[in-house]
Amino acid sequence: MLFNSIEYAFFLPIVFVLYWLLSGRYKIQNILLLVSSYLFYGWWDWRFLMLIAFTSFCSWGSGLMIQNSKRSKGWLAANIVVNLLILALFKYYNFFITSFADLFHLQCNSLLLNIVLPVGISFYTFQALSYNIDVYRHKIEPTRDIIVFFTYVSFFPQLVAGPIERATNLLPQFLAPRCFNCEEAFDGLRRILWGLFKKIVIADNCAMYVDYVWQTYSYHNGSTVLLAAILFSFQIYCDFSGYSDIAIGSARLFGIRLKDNFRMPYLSRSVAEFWKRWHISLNTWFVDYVYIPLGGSRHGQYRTIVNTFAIFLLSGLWHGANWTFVLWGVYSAFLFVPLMLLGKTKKYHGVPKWQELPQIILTFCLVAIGWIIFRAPNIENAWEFFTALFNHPFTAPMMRVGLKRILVMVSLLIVVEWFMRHREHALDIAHFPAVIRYLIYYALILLILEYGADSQSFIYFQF
Amino acid sequence: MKRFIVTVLCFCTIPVLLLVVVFCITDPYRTIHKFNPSNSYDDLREYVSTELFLRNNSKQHYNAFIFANSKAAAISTYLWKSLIGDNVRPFLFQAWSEDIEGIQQKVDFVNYSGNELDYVLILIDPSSFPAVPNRNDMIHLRHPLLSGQSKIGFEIDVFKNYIQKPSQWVRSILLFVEGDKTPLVCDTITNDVFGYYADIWDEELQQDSLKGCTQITRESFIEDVSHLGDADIEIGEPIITAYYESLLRHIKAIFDTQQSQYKILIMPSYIYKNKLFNVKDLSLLNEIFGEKNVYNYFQKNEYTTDYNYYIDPGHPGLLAGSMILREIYNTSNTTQQ
Repeated sequence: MLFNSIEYAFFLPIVFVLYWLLSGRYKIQNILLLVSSYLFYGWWDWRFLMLIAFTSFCSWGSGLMIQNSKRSKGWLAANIVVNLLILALFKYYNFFITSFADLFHLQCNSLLLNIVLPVGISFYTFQALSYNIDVYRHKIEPTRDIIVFFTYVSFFPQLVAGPIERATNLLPQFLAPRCFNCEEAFDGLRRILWGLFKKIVIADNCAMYVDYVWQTYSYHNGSTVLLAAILFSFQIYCDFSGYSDIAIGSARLFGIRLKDNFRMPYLSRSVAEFWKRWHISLNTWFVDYVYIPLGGSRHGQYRTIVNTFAIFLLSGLWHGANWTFVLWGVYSAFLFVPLMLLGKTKKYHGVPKWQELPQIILTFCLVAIGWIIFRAPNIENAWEFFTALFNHPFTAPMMRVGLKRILVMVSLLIVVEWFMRHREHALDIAHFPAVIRYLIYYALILLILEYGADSQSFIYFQF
Repeated sequence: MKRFIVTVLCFCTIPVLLLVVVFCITDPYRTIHKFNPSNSYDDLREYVSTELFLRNNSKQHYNAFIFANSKAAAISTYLWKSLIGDNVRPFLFQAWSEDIEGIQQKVDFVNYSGNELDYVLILIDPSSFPAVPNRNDMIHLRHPLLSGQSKIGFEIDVFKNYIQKPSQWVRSILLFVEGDKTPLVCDTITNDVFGYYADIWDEELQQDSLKGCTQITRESFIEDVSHLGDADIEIGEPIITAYYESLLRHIKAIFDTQQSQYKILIMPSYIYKNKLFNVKDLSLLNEIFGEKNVYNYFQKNEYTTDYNYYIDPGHPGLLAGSMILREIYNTSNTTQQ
């Protein structure tokens, strides 16, 4: 079930009303959330439910064993191996087999598996893993309540594309009674509205231009290719952060607070700052569970560089079984490491200022080049697309129907984010006069209705 | 909780109720109050066609029909009339997204209305045989008289489309304020989309064969297709299912009863962007309607390979349509497969 579908427009209010009718009975509320989450997930393919149930059960059981057994390390290792094996089988098996066969010019068709990648498998696997590691580190008590744990792994707002939650944040919320907070709920709706605007109006409209140019880039002039590269940067941002906004907003309707996943990343003044504002839940996951256990920055400069490359490589590979993602990870590391060596990763604090616009633009350009690698179906295409920027005459970009509208909407996004950069999110306007607030709400709804492109799936579902 | 639900309900329902009132008063598509062809809405093309037929038929006694989808924009009923005879009274019975089921319903409807089907031209292409017919969008909505849907159900479907497009809200209010001052969308007798150019179209076409196409769509289209070549030609899978075959045979039976002079014209599309008709489907059409009555222009020929004939990859302009009409009525069927 997609967030931008009619099904979800019915599903969410029904679950919301039932949930608060059960107010004061939080255990039954948890059961309702679990059933709703499985219904939400099973909407894609009911067979996926068996996998998520298995992952949840293994992690729940091993969490208890880690605490109660003398071989806690063994149980942790076993659970990590099981989870990563499942992930490897569904996501990476075919990739590694074909890569190995290509390397040695072997035939491998008979070895390939014809399996569908379960939606959001990387997200919930990482969420389950973080629980066991936190239990092992004594950061959290394992829960005996299987319903609560299964709900934690499958909570529908963030199940298929994050934010990747931590047990330390989410489990205590499921284990305590929840009270309805009107202002929180209104704020949740505001975030959903803003997320829908970003996804339906900006991301889906950008997608039409971007997809077309990516299919035919060798026939276009440099400015058209450049425009497509810029628009893809906004497409992927609005697609993913739009999903996160809807997820956070939906969760807030149930009195659950999820962590922020994006903090207006295109207003970053350096690549280091960008990574603190982009896909925060994944980046902090890699820092906490990979970078720090590898030694972090505690064992000299050389090890620090190696560890940094390791997390960027893994982050790239996490996004998909393709060498383009690996290359994207390497590229990102190459941008990040010099800043780290110069001690400039923590240079910028607070909200950006007008005077810092050149740094913001430069950072955006560097990140946009990375998105070319990310978007390309293979490395060869990425290179061809990149060279197409320079190979052709730099005349006016190709105009297509709706392009002016896309540019206006992207400009609107930039302006809104700039003026709201000191707020929690772009539509954090509870303090505005009611008339202005409602005018903004209706204006956004009108834009969604009038300019909403054909519904497309979220990019990050494939990860 | 109560405050939240009341606020949200008011926020959602008040504008919707307001729109229902505006919809009923302004009647933006002329589906509620009396139909007025000079003020109708061209997205709802089938509704306009059917209402126009009902309005004029008692006076016009139409006896020549073109059943077609949006590709009829390439065909002038005035030219058609000049090719088949001066005593005919042609009517373009069109829906933008017409399929064989719609054509069968219209042939039935005309037949039951007591009209003679002396001359018939059916324009089809692969989109006339959709695997899953869409019945929700405005251009796919059927007149309740043809589809058998209730009037209220039809109005609800129209309203569902209306509410999704704020620009239509504005348009409906402007239309209401301006009254009948909006321009015609079709010829009020023949229902011909390009009827207004009846006297001048040859001259217009020589100047601009892609008339009706905006500058941006035209530039996009040309940029879109100019690099394509023979390697991009694809042949589609068979699409005429048993159900569609039964409808085609039903149509043929009516033509036989009426002793109609009919032609099935497979309209050209820009060949490098559209999948060709499968040979199996062509054979079936030939078998049902007779080889001499089926004209396949959707193959590699001068019309399908030159983008200058097209408004967009699926829609030839009036110049191509006129040349094809002259070919199939004045000369032997040389393009048939």
